[in-house]
Amino acid sequence: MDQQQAFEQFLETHKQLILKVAGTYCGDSEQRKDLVQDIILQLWKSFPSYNKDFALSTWMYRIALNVSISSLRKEITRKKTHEGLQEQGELLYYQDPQMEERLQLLYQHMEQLKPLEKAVLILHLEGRKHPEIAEILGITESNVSTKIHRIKTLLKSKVKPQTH
Amino acid sequence: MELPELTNLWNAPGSVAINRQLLKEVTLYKVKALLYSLKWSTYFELGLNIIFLFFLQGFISGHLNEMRFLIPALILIVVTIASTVLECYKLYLFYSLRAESPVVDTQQKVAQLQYLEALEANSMAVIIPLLSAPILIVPAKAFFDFDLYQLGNWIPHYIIGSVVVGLVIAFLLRKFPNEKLKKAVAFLKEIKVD
Repeated sequence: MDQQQAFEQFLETHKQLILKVAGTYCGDSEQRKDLVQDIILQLWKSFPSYNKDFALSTWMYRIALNVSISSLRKEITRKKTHEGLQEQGELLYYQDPQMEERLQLLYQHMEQLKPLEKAVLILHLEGRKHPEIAEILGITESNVSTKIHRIKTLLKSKVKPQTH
Repeated sequence: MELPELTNLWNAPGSVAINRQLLKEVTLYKVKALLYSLKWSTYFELGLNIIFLFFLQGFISGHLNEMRFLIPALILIVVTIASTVLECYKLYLFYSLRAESPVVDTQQKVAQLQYLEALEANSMAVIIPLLSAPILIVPAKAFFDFDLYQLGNWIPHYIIGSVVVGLVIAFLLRKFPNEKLKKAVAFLKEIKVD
């Protein structure tokens, strides 16, 4: 199997997570397409040099979250890289439109969180244990616990958004 | 909303599709975007070459019996034709980058573009001295009907001076190559298929 096939197989396993991470960090659907492309491009660029000493999931989470967080700092512009691709639809998409609607509700709740808190919550929702979250994000385990506690409090205190 | 509710929403089963054609094209678009400026500079050079070829063809047909003007014009036309062929080949390489091709093919084509850029840079050391005198003699005659040979024995000194200029320009072009092209090659190396 060549690198391209191996990467496609890898993407097949993690496609849903990439879409959800991009959705968490990007409210605008056009910018979300860009972010999905950026994450995939970065994963692809780094894929051949992936260090097998680290867990594949750790590597993947780090890249996806780093790209998402850094895309918030720089205003996403219509780069030439994306111009042509935009016209051809999305790299990843939900086959069931209702799924996207349900996730929008989730994204609305996560909107109030800071970028790093979003990353903590994503990893927590993915079922990652505190030591792993700490390793991926480069923070201490106690910091992870503190942030999760704060996130729970924040989510409880917010009034449920109106949905029609 | 409580965390367990969020967890349920997050983990709700949903089917995600991959646009495989677009996935293949992501790499290519990245490379093509980097080569964008190279493409337009090649078109510009090609346009200038074509205009110059028309001018030279007219000049040659009017000076067939004057060897002192015919030879410089022939030198110019040969170099311009060679340059035109090179520009066309560069455009061919650019347009033959295809999403459905294996990454190795793209790598080879971009490497060829980089080689041609280096070749052009190196050739400046020869082309500048070679064209230095003809590029003055021919237009002076064509536009001002002035014979530069009348000015005495300036040509050998002028050519020797242009050798130095040619070497300096070739050195600078090699020292500061096209950054975008370098990035495209580096990018393709990163995603190299073993």
